[in-house]
Amino acid sequence: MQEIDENVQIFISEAVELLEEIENSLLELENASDDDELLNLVFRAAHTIKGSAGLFGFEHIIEFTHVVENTLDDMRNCIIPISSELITVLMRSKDQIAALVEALPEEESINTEEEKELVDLLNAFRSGKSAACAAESNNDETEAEAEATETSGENASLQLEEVTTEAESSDSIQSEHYHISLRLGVDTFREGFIPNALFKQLATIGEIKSAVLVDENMPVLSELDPESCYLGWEIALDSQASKDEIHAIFEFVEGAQCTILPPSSKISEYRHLIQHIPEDEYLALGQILLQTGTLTEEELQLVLNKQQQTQEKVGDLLVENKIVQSEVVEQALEKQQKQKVNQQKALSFVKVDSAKLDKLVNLVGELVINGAKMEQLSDRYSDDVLHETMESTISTLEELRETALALRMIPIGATFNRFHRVVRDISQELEKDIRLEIYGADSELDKTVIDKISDPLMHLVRNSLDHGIEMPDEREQLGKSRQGVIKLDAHHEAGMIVIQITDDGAGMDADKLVEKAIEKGVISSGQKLKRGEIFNLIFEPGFSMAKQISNISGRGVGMDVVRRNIEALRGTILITSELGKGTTITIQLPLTLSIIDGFHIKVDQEDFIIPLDMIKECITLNETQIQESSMHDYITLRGEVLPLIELRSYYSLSGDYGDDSENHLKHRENIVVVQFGQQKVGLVVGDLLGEIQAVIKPLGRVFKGLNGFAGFTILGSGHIALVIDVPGLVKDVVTNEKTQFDKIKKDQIDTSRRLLH
Amino acid sequence: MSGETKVDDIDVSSVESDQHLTFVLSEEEFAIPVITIKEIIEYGHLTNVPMVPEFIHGVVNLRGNVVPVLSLASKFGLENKEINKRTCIIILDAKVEDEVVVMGVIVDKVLQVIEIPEADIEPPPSLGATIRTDFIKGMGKIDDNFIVILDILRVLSAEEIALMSDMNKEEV
Amino acid sequence: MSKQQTIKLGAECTIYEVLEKHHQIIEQWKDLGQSFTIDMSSVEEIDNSFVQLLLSCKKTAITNNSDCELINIPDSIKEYIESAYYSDYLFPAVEAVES
Repeated sequence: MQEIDENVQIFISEAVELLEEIENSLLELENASDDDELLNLVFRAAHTIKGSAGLFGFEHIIEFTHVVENTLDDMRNCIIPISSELITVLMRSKDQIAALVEALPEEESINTEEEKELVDLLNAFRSGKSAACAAESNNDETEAEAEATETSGENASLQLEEVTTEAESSDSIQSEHYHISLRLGVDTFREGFIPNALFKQLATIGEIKSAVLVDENMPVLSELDPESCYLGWEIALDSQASKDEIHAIFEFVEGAQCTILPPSSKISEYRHLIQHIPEDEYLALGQILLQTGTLTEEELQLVLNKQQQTQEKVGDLLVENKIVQSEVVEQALEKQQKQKVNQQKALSFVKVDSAKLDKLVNLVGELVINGAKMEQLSDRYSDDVLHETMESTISTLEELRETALALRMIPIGATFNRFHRVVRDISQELEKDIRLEIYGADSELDKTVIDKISDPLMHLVRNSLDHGIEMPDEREQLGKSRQGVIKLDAHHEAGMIVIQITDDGAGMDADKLVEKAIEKGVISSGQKLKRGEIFNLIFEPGFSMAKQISNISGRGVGMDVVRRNIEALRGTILITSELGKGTTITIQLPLTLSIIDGFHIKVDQEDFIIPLDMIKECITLNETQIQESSMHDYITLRGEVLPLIELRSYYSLSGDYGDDSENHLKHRENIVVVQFGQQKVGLVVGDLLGEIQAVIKPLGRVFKGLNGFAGFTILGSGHIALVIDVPGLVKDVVTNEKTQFDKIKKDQIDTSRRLLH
Repeated sequence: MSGETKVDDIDVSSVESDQHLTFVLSEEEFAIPVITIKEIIEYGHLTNVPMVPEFIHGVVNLRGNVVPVLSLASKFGLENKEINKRTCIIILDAKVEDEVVVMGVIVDKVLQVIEIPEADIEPPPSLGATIRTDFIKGMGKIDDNFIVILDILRVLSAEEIALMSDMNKEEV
Repeated sequence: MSKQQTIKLGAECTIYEVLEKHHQIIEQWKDLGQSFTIDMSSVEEIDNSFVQLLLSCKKTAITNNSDCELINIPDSIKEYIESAYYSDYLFPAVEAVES
């Protein structure tokens, strides 16, 4: 078996970096000899070089670096004082390692004289240990071990203390060896890495008590990609080595996940391990605990037998039978839940500056535009090959666009998880008992959307905490459990993401809401509202359940602001509620802000884009409807009154649109019916030019105050079109209608008054 | 276009601070420091933006960027001349609050780049100017004539833009 | 008993061959409910990707309540398998054959 050169190459380049780090740190160390962090840095770097050299079997490098490392370790434990002579020797040693690395892949003996001298010098430093530290030198290895898991700021006596503490607490779980959970990366084989070398390497620093192959991820033959790696092990290692040393062995295994648990670990560390079992494995609770060495097989079997008899949950039984501490079980259960929810593969990640991603997305956007342009151009030629090429280019571009956008997609989970703390703190403050449940944490959406949704969500959750969930006593009286539940749920639906906030609290009283709305002048007393509309009144400006204002949600930001924020993201928000049962708020959002599917229309000579997801239908009017539309600002469509907006006049596109009735009528032929919320509106437009993918460019500083538009887009022709903000437009019309309606009513009242007098 | 100064002839890439570009707006000559200019493009397809004040002529596609284009003539209350082949858009970096915003201004005709030494620039007159004095940076002396040097960044400044937003709201 | 399902591996069993052998095994092992035998007598070289293929065979067998037997494993190959602790998973099958 030959190693693939590429890996050696990676080793060399990393070693070179580490050596540079060693040199810089040594230089700094000379001036700041008491800086333990620097010394640690040097030690770790040397250690990593040694460890990874071991993976490739570069015996010579290991051997020499080992001497250097020992010296550094003695320095860390203040056995040898730092002197500039010592630093010089270390610098020379570093050069020697560099020379050895440079000679790779051939392992030659270079500068044998120098190397021999260096080894002698280093050993001389070590044997000339200062008297002060000599007494502790017997405990060398224990110290190193203890220190390796800690930052080395403490002095030696403190470290010893810690060893004792750990020993005392170790009776809770008896595990005298390191526990290593290893999951190899998917590309391990392709990179030519050999797991066997790992075991060989581990064997050099300790005894492998057992290693169990984990086959959870291993597919059956029909689903196997034989070149991908699905392997993982749970390893018990009896070793005196430090955690650092063990870790270094795994450092060069690209894409692998590795958790190392030191011997005699505390419960908290086991909990930590359970948390860090790779999420892509779904393991039964028992198996998790078994794997982590918390349980023995017999214990698990015992519990499983009992379970069959009693049908109890394994977790409860484990606690009942005092086999596992309840915290550990809880943790494992939580993990199990997470694994169910979060099946996504956590392979290897690259951190990228989000500004770079934005640029990429922008460039791809430009490319999409140019692609559309080229496609238009190619229509001029009747060349089959050209058209074929064009077609495949367009579809590749499409894929590229999707891939680029997907790069910006991040799971909403992190945002959701922040609410755990919020719910905990606020429910304490309010003396309520509230549990937060999260579903669909892995639903992905554009980072910009996530950033902008966070505040409105916070407001809504606070609202539920404050106004939604009742006090525990009150709940009990109502026959509910004392603990209230708030659920956050995210899922994808028809190209949108739907986020729901549900509480099992008091719900809202529709009658009271109407009363309130009339009192506040949000609606007039005669107005009849549908049930759905009533609850959504709370999103109206100036509408707040003032009675209940508290410092939690009554912070001067009303629900209308929440709605405005959601609408700014081209989303919608709806609320449903049942008195006494709870409230559900549903937010629908586009997955991304930057590219939309739009419908290209013309009004006069100007281009406009209407977001496709807002369009219900496009209609061409018949004679009667044209007549009707010329009489009023609405038409009757399938028995429903459809208000019309004539974009030409609405946007004041050409100065005179008054008396030229023929032209006027002609322009009323095409109507695009858009819907926002419950409100449908017909937009009277010119030509319908079809669907288009539009990269939305923000309005920018100059047009920031411009209502009714979501942004600009550049068409295939290179011309700029405005993207219509349908919610803004619709709302405007509704407001206008209301004003008109009120005016008519007022006129009528005035008239009747005049008649009376 | 023979004999006329073409857009391409004016190299704005390497300039000294004394250099000024002169142009014509409604038959009057103005100058702006070349250093503020990014580039000059020929008047191309502009997209109207509805419901904005008249002095905002629209937006233009500058290599994939949407650039707002203002009419200086409208801003100054001068007559808007008909667009012809010598109409140009001068692209500048304006500063709105702390944000750099690329903007274009329409001019009827670009004349030349000339040097106006600091010494030849006099403070703006308190009276008698055709445009608001706070838009004037100074009066540049060329031969025996004076030319208005615009404080173009002031014209395109935050207050002017804010004013526009206000007007905008009134209109809607 | 139905016709024995079996495959004999070649000398080289590494990532370069693993795709091809994967296909062959799937082709040969038509009835997953019946046990499958892999003859390893000629194997001279093996790597982890190939061992993984064997592991997957084993898992497939377990899933289908059948068996996958590895027979005639040369000592050097056995050693290799042991060195990465695959034996617990793979060798029960071997023992069954040997006993």
